[in-house]
Amino acid sequence: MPSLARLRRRLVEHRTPYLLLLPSVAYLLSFTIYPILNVFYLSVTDLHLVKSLVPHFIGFGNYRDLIWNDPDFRRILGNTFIWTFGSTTLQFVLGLTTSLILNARLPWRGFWRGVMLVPWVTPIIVVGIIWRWIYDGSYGLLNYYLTVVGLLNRYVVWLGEDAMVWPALLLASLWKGYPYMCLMLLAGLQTIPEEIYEAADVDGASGFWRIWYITLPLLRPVATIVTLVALVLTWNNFQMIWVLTEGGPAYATSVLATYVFTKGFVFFQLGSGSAVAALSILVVLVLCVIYGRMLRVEEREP
Amino acid sequence: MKTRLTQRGLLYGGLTLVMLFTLAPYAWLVVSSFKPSTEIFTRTPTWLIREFTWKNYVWALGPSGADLGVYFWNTVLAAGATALISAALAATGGYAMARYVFPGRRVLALSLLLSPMFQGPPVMIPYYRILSALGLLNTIPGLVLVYMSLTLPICIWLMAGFFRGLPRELEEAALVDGCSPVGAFARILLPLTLPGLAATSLYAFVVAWNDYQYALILTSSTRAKTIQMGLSELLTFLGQTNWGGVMASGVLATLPVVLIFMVIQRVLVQGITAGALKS
Repeated sequence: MPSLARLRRRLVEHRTPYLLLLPSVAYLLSFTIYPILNVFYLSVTDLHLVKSLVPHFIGFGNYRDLIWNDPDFRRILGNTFIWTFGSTTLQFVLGLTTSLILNARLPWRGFWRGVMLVPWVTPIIVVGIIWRWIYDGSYGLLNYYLTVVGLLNRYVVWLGEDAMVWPALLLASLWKGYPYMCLMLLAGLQTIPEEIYEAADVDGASGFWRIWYITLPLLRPVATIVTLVALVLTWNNFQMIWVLTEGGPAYATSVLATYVFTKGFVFFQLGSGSAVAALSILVVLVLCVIYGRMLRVEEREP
Repeated sequence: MKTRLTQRGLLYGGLTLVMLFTLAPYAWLVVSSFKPSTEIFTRTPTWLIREFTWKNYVWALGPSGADLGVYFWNTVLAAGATALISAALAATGGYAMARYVFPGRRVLALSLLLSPMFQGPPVMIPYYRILSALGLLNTIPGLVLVYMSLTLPICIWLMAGFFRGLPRELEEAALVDGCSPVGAFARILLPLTLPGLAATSLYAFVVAWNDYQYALILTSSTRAKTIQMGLSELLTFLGQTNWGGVMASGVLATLPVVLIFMVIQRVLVQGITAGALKS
């Protein structure tokens, strides 16, 4: 076949890069691509960690059960949006503010930039230890300080009350996640040439207006991409919620990401858990297409 | 003049607030880890240590306490192996991405860039099944196999960036002098990217060290449980345990990561921001 011959010629012609990349590509195919496809297959089976170790095809039953028969699913879906947009918005606002501060001329600027990243490198379990203690109902720092300034007249079990658990979770997520956002935005800010500001100085623009009319519009492409990435990473973020609340109380802070784990490894329903994962991936795919498009636009611009 | 002063005031005020928010929770962890439990369980929290003690650290590592030694050792092995293998594959793969044009290059570049978007819960169940089929559940090689999915894409990006930073004339000169392409790569280019390669592998080490979610589903005993799992066990039995000891364990688990990070910060930040923003 002519196409086969052409393929062979191509392989021979480019053999050096192909050989160099072979182990990496083989790995990525089996541990990144295959699992994504596999989860879609498992989602239409009855795979169960105890009852059915061999998957049998059962059609769309898992999806049907989730959407029509699962009383918690709707709430979990809603939570996923609160979590994703709440976290990302907060992280963006603080990340942007901090990046503007750390981009200004400051003594010890490099040092502050390093310190800012500490929460980002802290292992998630340690983040859990720190914030569980801050939110503790009897000895927690938050209760103490809020009472001292008079904002609170009783001690609250922050991670145990339906009304308090979301603000608590989002604050901890802000602490852990804003440095990444700030880091990316800071990189974006550094690509804005100094001369633009000098021109603005001549025109008499200063301070706030300089940021509003020059910095922010020029930062917009970077900010959009970073926000999109953060949305997806938060959407998939199981660890932050798990170390603080394990999705509780009841399902109050469960999102799709934690529900995959609850279904699969707490209730052993791997098939049903895969259906949750597959639904979650579909949303991520949509966001990825947008991301891919934007990268291409970015490439064309200069 | 007046606006300049207000601006400076706002700037320093903002910096102080952000740094307080960032460091206070952390400082609390460190301070508490040196306190006896009578000082920890107080209604009025104090930031000063009245009676300094190492007892919590002894508890964290000692056989009569949390006995975290074996967890640390497992993590060193898993993260170390992940770092070495990632570095080796990223050196060759990154070189190919930086220096060659070949069919499939764009697709590969895009998949490397997108792969972080599919980590964690979406692929947890398949990973469990794969390792189960390979008989690698609850083993360190099993963990390494999965950890590579977190590290390899970014490591290849980082290394490609380092190779791009080197002038092409270097290899061309070596080839003219009779060096084979492999020789030019191994003897000329690789030594020049050695600092970058070291940073790349340390980055992989940190990522593997910090993993919690995969260890949670893939390990079940001290045969392979990592330090994050050790800590999470302490948290589960929180009611009965010694908070000071938990805090000390947290400090110990964070220490290597923060130290490594301080060393590689500059390189890493450059690589990561470039990887995500300039494709």
